[in-house]
Amino acid sequence: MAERFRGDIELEGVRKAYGNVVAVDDVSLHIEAGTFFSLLGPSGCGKTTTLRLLGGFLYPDAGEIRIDGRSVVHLPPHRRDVNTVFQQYALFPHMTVAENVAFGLEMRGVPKPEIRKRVAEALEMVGLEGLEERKPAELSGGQQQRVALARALVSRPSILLLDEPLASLDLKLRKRMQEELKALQAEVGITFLYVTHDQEEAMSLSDRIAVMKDGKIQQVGTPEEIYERPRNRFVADFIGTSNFVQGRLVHRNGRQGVVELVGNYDTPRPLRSWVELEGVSPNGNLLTFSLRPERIVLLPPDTAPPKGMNRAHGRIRSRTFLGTDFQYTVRLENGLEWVVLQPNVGTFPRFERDAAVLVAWSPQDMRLLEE
Amino acid sequence: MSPRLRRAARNPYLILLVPALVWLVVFFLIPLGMVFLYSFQTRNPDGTIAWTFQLGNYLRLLRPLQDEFPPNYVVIILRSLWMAALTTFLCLLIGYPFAYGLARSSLRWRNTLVLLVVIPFWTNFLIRTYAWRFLLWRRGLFDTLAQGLGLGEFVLHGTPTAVVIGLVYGYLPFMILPLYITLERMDRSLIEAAYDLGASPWRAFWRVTVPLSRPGIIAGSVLVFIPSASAFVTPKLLGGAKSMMLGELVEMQFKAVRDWPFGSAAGFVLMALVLLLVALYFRAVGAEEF
Ligand SMILES: Nc1ncnc2c1ncn2[C@@H]1O[C@H](COP(=O)(O)OP(=O)(O)O)[C@@H](O)[C@H]1O
Ligand SMILES: [Mg+2]
Repeated sequence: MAERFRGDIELEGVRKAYGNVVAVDDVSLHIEAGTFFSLLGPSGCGKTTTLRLLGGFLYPDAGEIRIDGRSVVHLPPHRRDVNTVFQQYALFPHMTVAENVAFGLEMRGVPKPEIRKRVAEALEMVGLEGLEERKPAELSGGQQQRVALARALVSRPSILLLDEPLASLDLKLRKRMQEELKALQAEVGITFLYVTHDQEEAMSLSDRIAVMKDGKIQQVGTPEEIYERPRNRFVADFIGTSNFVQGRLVHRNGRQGVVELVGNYDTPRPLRSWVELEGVSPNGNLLTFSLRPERIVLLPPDTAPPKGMNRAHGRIRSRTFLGTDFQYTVRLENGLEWVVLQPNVGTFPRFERDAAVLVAWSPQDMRLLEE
Repeated sequence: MSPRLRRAARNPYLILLVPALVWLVVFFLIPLGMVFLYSFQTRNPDGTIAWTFQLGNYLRLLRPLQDEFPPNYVVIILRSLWMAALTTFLCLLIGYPFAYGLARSSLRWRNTLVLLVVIPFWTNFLIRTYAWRFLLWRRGLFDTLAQGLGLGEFVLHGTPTAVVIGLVYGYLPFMILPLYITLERMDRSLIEAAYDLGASPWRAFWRVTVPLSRPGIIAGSVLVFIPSASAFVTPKLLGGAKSMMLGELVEMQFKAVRDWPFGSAAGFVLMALVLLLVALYFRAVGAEEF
């Protein structure tokens, strides 16, 4: 019974500063046991510091850290039921693969015969049978990565911390290791707290993501929630790409409203868009919306746009072939330039540079951002 | 020419080795060869060399219980090696914590501390050893203090202990510096990984830090052992007849006794033994891995 609750992490108002650089600023997070949780943010946003606070290598200036409901702030690293896969793996260069993996068990006083058995199991789990006697220097980057994983998992911690573990692998290997990591987490069922600056990686691996910037958590949610409902400009920009659209509310009708878009130059007829507004009461303020490129539809100028969609006239400024998609830059009648992504599928019309187009987008896809 | 030589001949950087090679041949190998030749000769009464070519000097050195002063060369040889080994061990014992603290101290402190390690080299070794004499001998600082405190006599001068103290003092920097360099460039995350995997700081030290600082331990030990085994200033100034070392014997033969052939033989035995022990040591610790 108790097993089910192992690996639950709570951070409450955690703060850590180096001199006058606040690396982690009032971070509160709840990570449920057994989740694959990613901490996503640009380099220098405080991800490693957060991991080190959890691993016990740093002491928070303020706040509380609980694992399975118990405060661990005062526990040194070797007394925490948390293992880390370090960014550069940190394999012991003077020990063989088997000795590296056995280290944690030895330190915990596991009897010799059982160590042998569990090391063999762990190496099998990461597909490294037969390399027991190699030294880390004799392994490829991907193999070293696996040794680091086996070493961290063999003592069955309730939480595994991973600090950009795939950052130094090439793209192909990275993709494969991502799949393996995901499968491994499902197999061992413990909490994975995964640090990355790669949004695609975070999206494809995680059950939940916390987006971080300047030491602060910007948003927490499932990959879908974060992509579909970015809370602010930073998240909308960092996760995928967004067209940022600004406008002033000129009319409101329940959940729907009309905004007048701010353009680069005045047009005889101001460009307007229907938007969805949830629970906010904007009073003529400037609002910012995120509009994803793939949610915009380009049509020949003489077609009737689908019902209920906003429309504008535009002209193609550039076209880039991306394989599965075409990426267009379209200049709207008020001078705004939007990026539009259209699937490379027969049913979607193609446009040449300078072609006139009808641009259409639906009100729900205008996502209001907190500023 | 063998293919290897031909390949080497094409490497233009080999020319950079020439000055050092010339230096070594002229100022090291040639004199060494001369000393080697001397060691098979005998001495004329006036101190000049009689070209007799025999093994007598070596036999005399290795024959125990000779009826002359100093009476037993084998004892002197063994004592030299033992005192050098003890000195090396003590330097390691004292130097390791210091080097460790040095490597872990903040940058600002580190430079100051490294300077402190090197500062003694600014003063002549002889003068520093004389200073130790003033500390250790009768009515010296330690003796005066001990008597003042009513602890009785405290005179180390003339004992093997005094020699070892002097040797440790003199060669400690040679231990600290290589240790410091290996400890300083050691990847901190390896120690964190050990903690992370459940090692207490003490076990992480023995299982990770010490093995990884092996290159420094090896370099430091060799750098301390070799000059300690052949030291002559320290045993001469701080020791007595009961603590004579082989280096001192060599010096005495060349200067006071003017028996160059015998001194040469003693010097060669010393060199051979030190080389042998260092080779055995390298073999035992597996230095070829580094
Ligand atoms: N040991 C340190 N001393 C001083 N500043 C540090 C130290 N470690 C990290 N920082 C600073 O704290 C901030 C967060 O760093 P870090 O947690 O490593 O970010 P990330 O892992 O997201 O790249 C950065 O501005 C970094 O420069
Ligand atoms: Mg980092």
